[in-house]
Amino acid sequence: MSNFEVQRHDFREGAVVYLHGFLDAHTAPRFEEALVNLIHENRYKIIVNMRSLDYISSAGLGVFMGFIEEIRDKGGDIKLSNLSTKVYKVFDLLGFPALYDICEEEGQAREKFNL
Amino acid sequence: MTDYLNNFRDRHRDELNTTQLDQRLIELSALFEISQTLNASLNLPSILNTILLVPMGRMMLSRGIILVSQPNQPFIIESLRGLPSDLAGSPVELSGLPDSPFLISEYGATDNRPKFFSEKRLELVLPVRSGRGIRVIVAFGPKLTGGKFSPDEIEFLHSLVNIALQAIENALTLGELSQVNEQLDHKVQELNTLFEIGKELNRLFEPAAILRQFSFALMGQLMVNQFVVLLREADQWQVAFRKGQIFAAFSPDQCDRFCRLLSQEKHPFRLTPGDESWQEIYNSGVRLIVPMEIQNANGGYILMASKLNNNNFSEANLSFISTLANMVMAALENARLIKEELEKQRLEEEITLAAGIQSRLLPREMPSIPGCLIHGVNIPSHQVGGDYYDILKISEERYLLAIADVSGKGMPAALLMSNLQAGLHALSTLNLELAEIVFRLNNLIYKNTSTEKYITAFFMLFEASSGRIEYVNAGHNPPYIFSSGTLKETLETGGIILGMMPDYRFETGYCTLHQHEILVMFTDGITEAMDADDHEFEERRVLSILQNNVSATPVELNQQLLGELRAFTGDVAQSDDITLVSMIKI
Repeated sequence: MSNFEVQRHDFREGAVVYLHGFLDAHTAPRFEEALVNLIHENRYKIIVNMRSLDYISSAGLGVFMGFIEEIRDKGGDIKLSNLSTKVYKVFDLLGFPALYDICEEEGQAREKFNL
Repeated sequence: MTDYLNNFRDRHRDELNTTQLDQRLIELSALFEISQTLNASLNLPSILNTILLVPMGRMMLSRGIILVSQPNQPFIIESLRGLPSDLAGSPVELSGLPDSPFLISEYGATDNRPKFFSEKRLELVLPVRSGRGIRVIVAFGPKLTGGKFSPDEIEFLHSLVNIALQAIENALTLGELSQVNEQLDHKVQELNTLFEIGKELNRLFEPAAILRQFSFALMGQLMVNQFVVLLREADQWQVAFRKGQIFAAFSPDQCDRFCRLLSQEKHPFRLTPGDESWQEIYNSGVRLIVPMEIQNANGGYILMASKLNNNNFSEANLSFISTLANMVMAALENARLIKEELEKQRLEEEITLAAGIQSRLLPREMPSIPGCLIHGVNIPSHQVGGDYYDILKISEERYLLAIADVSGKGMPAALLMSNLQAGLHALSTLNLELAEIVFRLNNLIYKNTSTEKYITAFFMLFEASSGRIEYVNAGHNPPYIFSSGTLKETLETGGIILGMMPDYRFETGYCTLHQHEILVMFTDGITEAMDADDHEFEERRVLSILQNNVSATPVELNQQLLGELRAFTGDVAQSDDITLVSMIKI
């Protein structure tokens, strides 16, 4: 079993999601579930803090893709923060920086969201 | 460059000791410095800029252009100044040009080869060879001063471009390398994705979970967030998975029509606006179609809208999605086979259970009735029907005999039969009239079943010493009484089948089994047994066997009947139970 954990901290109409460990095909459904829960609660300002994320695969990136339009249609966004070099490389390789706001620090993302 | 420097003094003899020479030497040193800068840089645009801007500034040139060619490729306009900027990046076919510097104004007016340069009002063309052909062409427009390019200037510019060639090649190689590197990284990422999903699919047997994994890999790797997976299920095309608004309203009708249109397609392909044969599919927002092959036919299709970043699907994307689609199809097929296998196992277990229940409900040994020989046989079919027969001893004198056929097969039939058996055993102890017993049984069965479940049954009370019979036939094949090879009685009196109608009053029939007379009861497993040509055994064959076996014992008679039945059906498997009870009064 891969070691993966999702934690969240809610701020009014938004939330910061903290990812820990390995986000791959096996653990992707758990991250998806976390996003679905946020959408059900009408929290559309979502920051994904990857400070403790050790690895991400394409399947993990797929989870981001699945909701981005719905979230943006509702006036929200998914912003990413605190990516390690290794994790950023995967995002970069697949062209994500063109579509997603990637911040150095969680604080910057929260400022942009006014959270 | 060496020639240029060696001959410098000779060529400029008459200018010696003049300030002009000093000026030229200063320019020279400046250009050497530039050449150093060029070679130290690996950034192609800045190298090309330097090559154009330095001469243009120093010689007051109005325009400049640089074309670079890869082996066997047309020239590409890599950099330009003083010309329309939209030309940048466009390919230019140039051939038959000299490989040394030339001036357009000195070229024959009828010669079309330098047309590209004359059209752009460029004057000096400086081709540079590398390896087998011209690799770089730098061209400049006329001087703003209107003066001509001197041979000195031409040779000087040519030397400069030659010096720059190495820098250009280095930068190009670096660019190619980093491109190859990126492609390699992409390939590694693709392989990781395929490896990972392969591992995941091996442990998933739910189609929904398989398609979910597929969606992660697809969205993450290709940046597609709108797509639909169509699968053939029970000969119908169905939307098995959908993502994104474009496909939210994708109708079953569209699904069916598109799949029919696509049935001959074997490989992934992109849709373009001009293609008329796929116009309708294109108009629905689909940009890429991926057939999913299973056993040389298309078992499904993935229809995708454009990527979220609006980039085109590359060849590498197509080969990735094709592999992914086939993996998913195989996983779905495995899941289906496993489900089928489990279903089969479950069914077989049910049949075994049902057969167990059924066999326990039949009498293990026939109770003997004083003054009678009696023998019963039950041959369950493979699928377990619901035949039942029983003999209950009410007293030393009175016996209750029953034979019944429960509709349906498997567990439901076995349970209904156990219901009948339990009911009959309970009612038989209450000292009721036979018609009352059947009345109550009918109500019991009616209450416990839906109307498509029913039972045909025959019940009789037999008085051992006198041979007197009271009976009720509830829609069952009538038993026969034979006397010396002649049909004496057909036991038909009674009413409708059990379980159809509540509170139904049955009639009671009366007759007597005299000494040496035979009574035979059976189920339709005998009369409706089929031969290879779908002919039934029918009552008439049963009757003719009874006519011809006047002195047989019940055991012999049953054997004779079953023997003839087997000869009639041959190897044809029978789908119904066979039950047969014979008795003789001695």
